[in-house]
Amino acid sequence: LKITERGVTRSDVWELIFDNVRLREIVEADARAQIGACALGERQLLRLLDRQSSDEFREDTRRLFDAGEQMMRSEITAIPDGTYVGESVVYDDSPEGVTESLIHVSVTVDGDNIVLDYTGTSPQQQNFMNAPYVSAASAALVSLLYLVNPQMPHNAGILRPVRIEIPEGTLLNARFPAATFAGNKLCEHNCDAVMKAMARALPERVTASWARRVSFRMTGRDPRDGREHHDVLFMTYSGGGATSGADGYNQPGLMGGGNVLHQDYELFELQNPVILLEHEYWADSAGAGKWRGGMGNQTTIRYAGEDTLVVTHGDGTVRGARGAFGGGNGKSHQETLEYPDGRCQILHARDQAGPLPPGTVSHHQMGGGAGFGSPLRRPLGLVLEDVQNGLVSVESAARDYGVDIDVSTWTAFPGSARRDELG
Amino acid sequence: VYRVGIDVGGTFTDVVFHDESTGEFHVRKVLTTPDDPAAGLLSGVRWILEHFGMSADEIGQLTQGTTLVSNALIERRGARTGLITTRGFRDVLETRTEKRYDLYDFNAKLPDPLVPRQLRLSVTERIDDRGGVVVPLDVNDVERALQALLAEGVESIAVCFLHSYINPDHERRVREIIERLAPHVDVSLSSDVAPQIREYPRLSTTVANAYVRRLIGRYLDRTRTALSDLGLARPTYVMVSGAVVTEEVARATPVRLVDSGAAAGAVAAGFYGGMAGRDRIISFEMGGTTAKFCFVDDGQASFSNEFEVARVDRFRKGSGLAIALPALDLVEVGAGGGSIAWIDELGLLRIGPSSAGANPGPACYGLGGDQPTVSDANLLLGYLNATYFLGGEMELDVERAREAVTTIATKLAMEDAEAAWGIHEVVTENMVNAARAYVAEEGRDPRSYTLVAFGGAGPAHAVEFARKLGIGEVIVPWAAGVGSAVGSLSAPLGFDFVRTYIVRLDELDLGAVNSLIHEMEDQGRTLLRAAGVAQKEITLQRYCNMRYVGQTHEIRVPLPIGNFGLREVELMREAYAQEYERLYQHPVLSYQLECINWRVFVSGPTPFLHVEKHGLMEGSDPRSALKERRPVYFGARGTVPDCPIYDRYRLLPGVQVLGPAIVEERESTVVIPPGATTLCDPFLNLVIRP
Repeated sequence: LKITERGVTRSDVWELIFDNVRLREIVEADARAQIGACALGERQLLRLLDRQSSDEFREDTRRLFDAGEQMMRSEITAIPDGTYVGESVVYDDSPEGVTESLIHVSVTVDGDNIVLDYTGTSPQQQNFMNAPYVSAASAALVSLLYLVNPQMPHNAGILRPVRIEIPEGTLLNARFPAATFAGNKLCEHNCDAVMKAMARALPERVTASWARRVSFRMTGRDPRDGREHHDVLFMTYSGGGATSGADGYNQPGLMGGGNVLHQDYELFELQNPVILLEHEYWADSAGAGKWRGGMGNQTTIRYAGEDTLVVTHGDGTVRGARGAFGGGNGKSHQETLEYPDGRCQILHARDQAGPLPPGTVSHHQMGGGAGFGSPLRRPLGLVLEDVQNGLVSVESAARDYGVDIDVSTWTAFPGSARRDELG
Repeated sequence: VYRVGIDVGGTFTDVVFHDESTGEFHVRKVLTTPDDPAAGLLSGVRWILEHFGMSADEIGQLTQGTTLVSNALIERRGARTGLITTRGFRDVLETRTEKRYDLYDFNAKLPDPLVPRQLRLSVTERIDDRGGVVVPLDVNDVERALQALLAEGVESIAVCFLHSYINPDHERRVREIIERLAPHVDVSLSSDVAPQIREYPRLSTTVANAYVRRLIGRYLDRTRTALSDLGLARPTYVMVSGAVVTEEVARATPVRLVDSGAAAGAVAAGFYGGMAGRDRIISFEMGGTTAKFCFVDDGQASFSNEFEVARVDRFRKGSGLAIALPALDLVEVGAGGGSIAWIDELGLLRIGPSSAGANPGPACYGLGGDQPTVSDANLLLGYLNATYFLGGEMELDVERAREAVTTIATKLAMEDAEAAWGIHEVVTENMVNAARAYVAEEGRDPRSYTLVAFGGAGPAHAVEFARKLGIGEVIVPWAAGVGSAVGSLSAPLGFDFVRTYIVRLDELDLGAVNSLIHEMEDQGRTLLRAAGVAQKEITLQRYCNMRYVGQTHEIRVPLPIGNFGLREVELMREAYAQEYERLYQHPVLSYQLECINWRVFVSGPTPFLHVEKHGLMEGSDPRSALKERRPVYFGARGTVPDCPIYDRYRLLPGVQVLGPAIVEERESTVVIPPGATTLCDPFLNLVIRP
């Protein structure tokens, strides 16, 4: 079945697909963007073939793939041989309670080959907390790319020494007709499991855990023009995990799902009948560490629309990001609705509410990334700077970092015998 | 009339002196004094006065380009700056676009914000997206914030409130308070600097402006005084993107000067292209550290509405500070004469982006550099003349160059000459790859363009670059090594304006559009008339940034001039479809269009540069310009043992030179490979068919 045939979109196929999609314009525009990108690629490829014969082109492609393979093999060879095991717990937090499932990965490095085997991962779920193979395998590969030279070219050649095994019927390779809506969410857990597995072999390359993503979507009617509005609230992305050498990224988007661009405040208000009241770092949200986790944020929104419905799905409300090598944990997320009558409702990570009466306010406190290494080893000057900048409280500096701070003179001194011992 | 263009760069200050009565250009390179940038400018002016025995008041126009603003942002040498924002929003300066510019490198650092969090204060106030006041400005809050910033020793304050592009009232009241209580502090309002929707780029631009304001003010004061002492009392001009502005505008919004240093090249390319009667130009400038290129259509350089400055990783998009001002859409690659050759993990030869710069410089400079660079390779290949570098002012050391290149040749198991050729090829290929990506993004066909090459290294790589990209013609202008400074003489006085009016095209309020556009145009006319431009010499250009409803990126669509009516709305729809087709193919005619930002560019006349046109001497022989013959290496052809070397200054109009050949001028060398033909045109430009 073709969407585009001889350069022309088949409207019967197109309509069949998009008549079955609820927010048609959004998904349709995404599909068009992807087709546009392919068309550009095709145009460039044809231009290349103007200059080269197809034999030359094949030969060059083969060489590039071979060079990529060779580069990946030399990176894998540099990892000590062995089998490394990592796990990441998936929490499904809904009004019915919390259920746990597990992602389990064994990474075996043997010379210049590597296998990522997900045997031991939980069976697929009844609800939509499942991934199709494609998204799970992509996350496995992305994790590997995080751990090798970041300048590695991305072509099919680099896949030759890599084997990814995900048993069918599990969370990460659900069997038809299981629902896989949350497949992309599970990429985060998947990367996290691989990082944990490889921490022993590659301590200088892994990151501590990142805060997990909980999505918050809103829809309703905009009284300003009577149109329907909907938004995926990209601004509640949270903090990245620290590495041995750098603090985590503050609000950096996703670990397993690539980059998502910041949502402009002004366009957000233009497109939705809301007033954004706050979007700032949440003090003490990040895990303490020699290298601190990236900051989480707090976002506050007031709703003025009609028939406003909100939906959450994701993870991160039960536990925060886990620290590595003695680093502290990030805080867990908390999302609360405050109704005009003063009543408050704490939202689960999989939840829904509405219609929200106009004047309802949502509070989103998003935990930060986890720390790397003992916070007692963080240099005094950096702790002081964090406190001056309001990222870490005086109390947390004393309790977590062993640093006492005199705010009248902005001086820091070791407040902990343990810190002295560590030097 | 005499006109002077001065380009104050990091290493050299280029001076161009133009005598309109004779059409002559004189060029000169002097060393820049890094800790006193005014010194380079003044020594350039003094050189002219002494060399031509004239008095300062005979200089009709002095225009300068300067890298002062971009360098201050890169080196973080600006004022201690504070920021006042709407309560709840003090971190966007740091969280930026939330984009990691390197997806796979967890240690890639984002730039530190120009204002640390402790100097970012917020106050109670709120305006909504229609400009309505949701929460009135709390004046006591502003005073408290101001006192706190003063206590921290802040010298300059940026103010950026949400939706101030539509209602600047609260920002203006903050300025009044600061001016009343702390008149010594500079204030930059986002509604003045970049009044357009999108909080982060507007804020980032405003903060950068606040950060460099004091520095530029002092610099302009100092040059003003010193020029007056020399007897030059006329106002001077400063180069910005594609235009020049008055000193006053430069002082108030110095952030406009961020690409001042780079802007001249594109204007110069347009000038030389126009001289040769070509309307589609690619400007190509290759210096010591970088190569830059940009499209120039019908004399108009291509613009983008946003760019970046002070990147942490110089060649990575997303690693710098966003500046929301129209700027030349320039691509910069780490490829220059000083770019260093190395072998990567795959055993492949790589060039740059790190550069030996001017100090220690390439190995052949003999200043202590021992890494092989592009210039070293070009010297070994026979392209550069060891005894005629900068006209012989500096002798190059062939042995050092050979030692450096041998280190690479050994690793590649190649002859020195092959390795040197490899370096020359790969650096050219690097530029070509960047250019191809750019050409693809811009949806243009390079085959219909003429390349105009500048810079110390540009003419040595231009023909190979053009061949690989499929460009059919290369122009190497007279004095190409410093030729880009000519751009500062041929740019018009101009100002750009922007207003946000977001509306679906079908629901456009024609009255609102007309008043918005006329308001900007009137403002521009007033500025131009104050600078002495006559009404009839004023040119207007209008643009609108448009998109399909639901998209997050806009494209720039030119608008017709005159009163805006229904016919114009239809023209906008067509122009959008055309532009969209060029960039992405397949416009979706059924989708609704939305207008976001409306822009006006108001400019004075393009200065006329009189260039003497010589008669062509048909069939004349280049032999009169022959300096010598020496062995020169050309890739597949190998060494040409007796390659002719011509003196640029003795090549007469109409002379044809067939490759292989080398043409030497003081500040650069033209490499004409086998198979290329060259004609010296009536303006003494070399027109090459690659």
